Amino acid sequence: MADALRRAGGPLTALAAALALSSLIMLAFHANPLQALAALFQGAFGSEQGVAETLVQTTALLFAGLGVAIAFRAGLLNIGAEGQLAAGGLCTAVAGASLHLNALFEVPLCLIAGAAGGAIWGGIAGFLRARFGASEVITTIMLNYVAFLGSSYLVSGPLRGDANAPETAPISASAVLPPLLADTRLTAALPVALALACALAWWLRRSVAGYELRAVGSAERAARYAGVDAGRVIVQAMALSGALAGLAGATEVLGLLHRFNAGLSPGYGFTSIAVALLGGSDPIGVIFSAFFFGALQNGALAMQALAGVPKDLVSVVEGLVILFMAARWFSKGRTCLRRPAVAADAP
Amino acid sequence: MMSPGILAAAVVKVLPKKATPLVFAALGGVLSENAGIVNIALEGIMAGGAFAAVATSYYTHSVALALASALVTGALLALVLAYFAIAQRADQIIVGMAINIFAIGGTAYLVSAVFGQPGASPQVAGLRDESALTWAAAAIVVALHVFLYRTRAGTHLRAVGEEPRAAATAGINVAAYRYGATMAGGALAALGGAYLSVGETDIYSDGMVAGRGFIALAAVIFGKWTPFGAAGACVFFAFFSGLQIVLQGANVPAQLLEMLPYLLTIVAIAGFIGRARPPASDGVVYEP
Amino acid sequence: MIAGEPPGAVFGLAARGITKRFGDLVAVDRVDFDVRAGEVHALIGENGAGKSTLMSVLYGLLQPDGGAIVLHGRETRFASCADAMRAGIGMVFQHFLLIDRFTVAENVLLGREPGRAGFIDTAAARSEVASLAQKYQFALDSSARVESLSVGARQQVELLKVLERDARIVILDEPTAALSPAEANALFVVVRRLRDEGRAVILIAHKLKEVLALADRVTVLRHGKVTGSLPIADANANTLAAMMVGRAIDLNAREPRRTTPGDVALSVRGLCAARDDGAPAVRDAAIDVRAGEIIGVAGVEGNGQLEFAEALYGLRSVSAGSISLDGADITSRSAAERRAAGMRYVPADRQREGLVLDFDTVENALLGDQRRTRVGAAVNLRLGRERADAIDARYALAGYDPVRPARAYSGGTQQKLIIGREMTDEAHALICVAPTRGIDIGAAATIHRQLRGVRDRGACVVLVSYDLDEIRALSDRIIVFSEGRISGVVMPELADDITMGNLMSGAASNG
Repeated sequence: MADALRRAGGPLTALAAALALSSLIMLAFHANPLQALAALFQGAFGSEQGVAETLVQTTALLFAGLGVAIAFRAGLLNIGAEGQLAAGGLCTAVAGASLHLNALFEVPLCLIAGAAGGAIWGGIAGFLRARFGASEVITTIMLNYVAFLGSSYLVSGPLRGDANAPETAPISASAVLPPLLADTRLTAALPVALALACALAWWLRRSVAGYELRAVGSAERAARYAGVDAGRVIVQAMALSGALAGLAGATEVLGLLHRFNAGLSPGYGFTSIAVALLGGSDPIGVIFSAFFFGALQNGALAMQALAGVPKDLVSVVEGLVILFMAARWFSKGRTCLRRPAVAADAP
Repeated sequence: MMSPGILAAAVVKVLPKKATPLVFAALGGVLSENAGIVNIALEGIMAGGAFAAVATSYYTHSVALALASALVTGALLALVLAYFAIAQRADQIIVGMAINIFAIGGTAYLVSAVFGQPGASPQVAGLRDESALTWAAAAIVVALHVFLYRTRAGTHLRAVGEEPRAAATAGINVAAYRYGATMAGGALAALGGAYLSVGETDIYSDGMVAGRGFIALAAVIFGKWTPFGAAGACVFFAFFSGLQIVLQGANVPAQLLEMLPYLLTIVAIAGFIGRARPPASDGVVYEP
Repeated sequence: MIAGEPPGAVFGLAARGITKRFGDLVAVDRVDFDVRAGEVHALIGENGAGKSTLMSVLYGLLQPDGGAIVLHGRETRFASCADAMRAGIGMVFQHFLLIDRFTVAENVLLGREPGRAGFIDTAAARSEVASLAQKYQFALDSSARVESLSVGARQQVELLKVLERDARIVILDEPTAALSPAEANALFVVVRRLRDEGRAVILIAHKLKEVLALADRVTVLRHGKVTGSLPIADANANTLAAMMVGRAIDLNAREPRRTTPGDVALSVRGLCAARDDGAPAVRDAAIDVRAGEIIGVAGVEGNGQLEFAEALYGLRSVSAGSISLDGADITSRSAAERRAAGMRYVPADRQREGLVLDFDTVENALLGDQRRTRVGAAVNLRLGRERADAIDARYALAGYDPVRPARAYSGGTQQKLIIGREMTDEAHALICVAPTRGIDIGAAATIHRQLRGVRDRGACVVLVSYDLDEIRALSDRIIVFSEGRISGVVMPELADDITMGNLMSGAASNG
């Protein structure tokens, strides 16, 4: 417990520094930081609706953040959560609209479809990195644009469900995720995400596959010596990472929108990096940081409405958090990736 | 259906517009990476430069000042990268991503805060003839080549990026070269952003950089970290970007055409078109 | 004036009572050391004795906590190595500071390139370096890229850097570590010439034979203190070794064999393997290793021995040939499968290959066996704990704690962890690469003892080493690699320097 608190010290300090700096920015534009903070709090926690919505944001960020964290532990920087989310959401929407089974089967199948879509999208980048040494930083970013444009094309044409709008057909009633709290958007996705986080925590620390993934991320040559096929691990890690992001999209479709359209991704891609870093790339830590950023994002809307501070300030806070976390002051290089692989690694 | 000749001519006409911002950003990347600092914040720096130019033009009505402010903004954003990379020994890719998030979010915030309307700025005074910047870009390509390979300072800069320890024992100030190269690189990239705003469109809108910073990064790799190579790669990417504009009337869906530059970048990065080694200490944390 | 100095002999560099601390550790403790013009003064000692630290102080890389540096009779301070270089001191480090992609001329003249107005005159640079190389009879092409040069040639470039600045005091740090006997002899010629030119040469070495051949004076450091300083005529290998370790040790003594070798356990035929860049590294290697036998693999570094060892263990794929263990063909088996069959491997680069520094002791004790010993889907931490405890019991790991990350242990302890993990009773075929490199004599003796123990238990051992003395002391038979081929098989009693030198350079072969 004491150990956990000590490890949380770094991230908390980084957070405080980021908030302090953001307050200065607000002051420079004649906004009142305290008023903004109050509005933020009010929006995030002030009502039952507010708390539920905060948890809704938390859920999506938790899935995507777990994905980025897993990739980090394997020494990879997955910037492609946006695209993987879209790929997963699209697959889920199609599955949900096409299948008409009992909810007991339909929901898991649709979720699996979403995970599979994200896994493939992430796996492509993993394959390019393992086979050709192509930097996953660049390929995942490019794949984001491809996913956005591709899905936009598909829902305007071949996969269009309704003639009036560029989106897929609505999913069948049995695919809808059961709500957790009436009159809110909170669904069963949250407990699924929490359970997944706990499972991943065990998997990473105790399983052989987790051991090998961490070895590749931390000391690739030693991992090779230990008989680990680094290329295979890299592809698997990116696929797993993409699958988690795909689940974020899947739960978005099944729980909230009930269909897929071009406006699906609310910009979680970059935020999930902040979530993973602030959580120390550890699944349990990610739960807490996802909650923090979920509150931040939900509260930001209230902050804009009530205090007149543009919600994009949240991005500024995110960027600063990542910046401070990367510095030696706070993290002792724990978030340091092995090295940027912009050229092929030695085989 | 247009003949290939007319198609090519149409693309060539639009090529400078497409290539110039990429070239500026890529040259910025070449400069800093040859000194050993990986700069993936080119995208955010371009956005910062684009916004700074528009904001300055809005208040001063001077395009010259607008361009100057872009240079300063780029240098300052790059200074953040340099500081965290050098003094704090942080992972350069993560710091670069942080700057991207911070800059892109920050410019969106500032658009609302400064102009009072979200999403885009009003129209401002821009460059009447943006081809001046294109000529400048070409000149800088040549100048950078001469600098890196023929001058003492340029050779020292490359030594810093290859083996900082060897450079240090030869009396070269590693940190100074890294700070200088990164900041100069940032200024160049920001100029690319300014081209997009006060050069081409005369406004700033959220997301106008649209991934060009990352394509420029790919051009640096594809161009084997040399000025001429990176510029050539930019022209190559720009060609396909131009193709998309020109083919828009045809029966190909717009989105699929828009995908071309991004798909091409992936193909290039995967080494289907050749691969090379970066400067030996590129991105490696230096502990003196 | 240094006490005992004849008057007038003021030229030289001296450390007077130098002390350097790192936290609680006193690395250099009130050391007096001096070198005069026209002499070669060797500084020897175990790893961690303080030689490198002392030289770093003399070269301006570190500031002393006590004592003074005396240059040409006057007390001076060096704020940085630039100061020391300006004062005429030049140092050739053990790990070269060369820029692979640059040419010889660019490397030698880095920071002092000829030219006007900031531009570089490449032609002038090239010819300047070419004539300097010619003067010392270095066969170097000044416009060749360093990456294309052999280790011996690269060292010549490092020497040129020092000579170009006309350093009057030259420090050489373990210069023959990676050289073949022929290249080492060429270096000796250069060192003698430097001395005859009136320069002062400090030679950091641990190969006592070289010291005895080359030096005029020798000083021994142990735990940061000087334990002896004498003219070479008064020194011999055993007394020097005793001064280094504090007790009489003859590492090169052969021990009488206690067992006789059994049947052939490891058999290699026609093995061919390539380097990472695709160039052939091992050509047509064949050997039979019996149970209870140590095969020493000698050769200058880079002649294919490392790739051979990696191919044996399964870290490198084989393009032709076969390997069999106990009669079973293992050529296409993975490293994990070979481990299951009893093969073990002590890698060359301990820190990066043999351990995951971020993992704790228990997890590292399982490295390589994590999949084979798993419990369901989980890592067998209980077994890992047992292993770690056993290694600690046998080798006494300093600061042992099961949950401590490997990064926190010292280099020597990390090495013990790896060796303890690999040299167990389960090891049926042990492959070691340079197991005592960078290890001090005391620990090296322990490792030698363990190797003999593994052999006596009936395992077959393949020992790749770049230290001829180690090979001669431990091997039952010696094979020599030259340019990827086994150029000869020699019995240790007949493996004198000339024979070995010829086989290693490929000038002769008896294979």
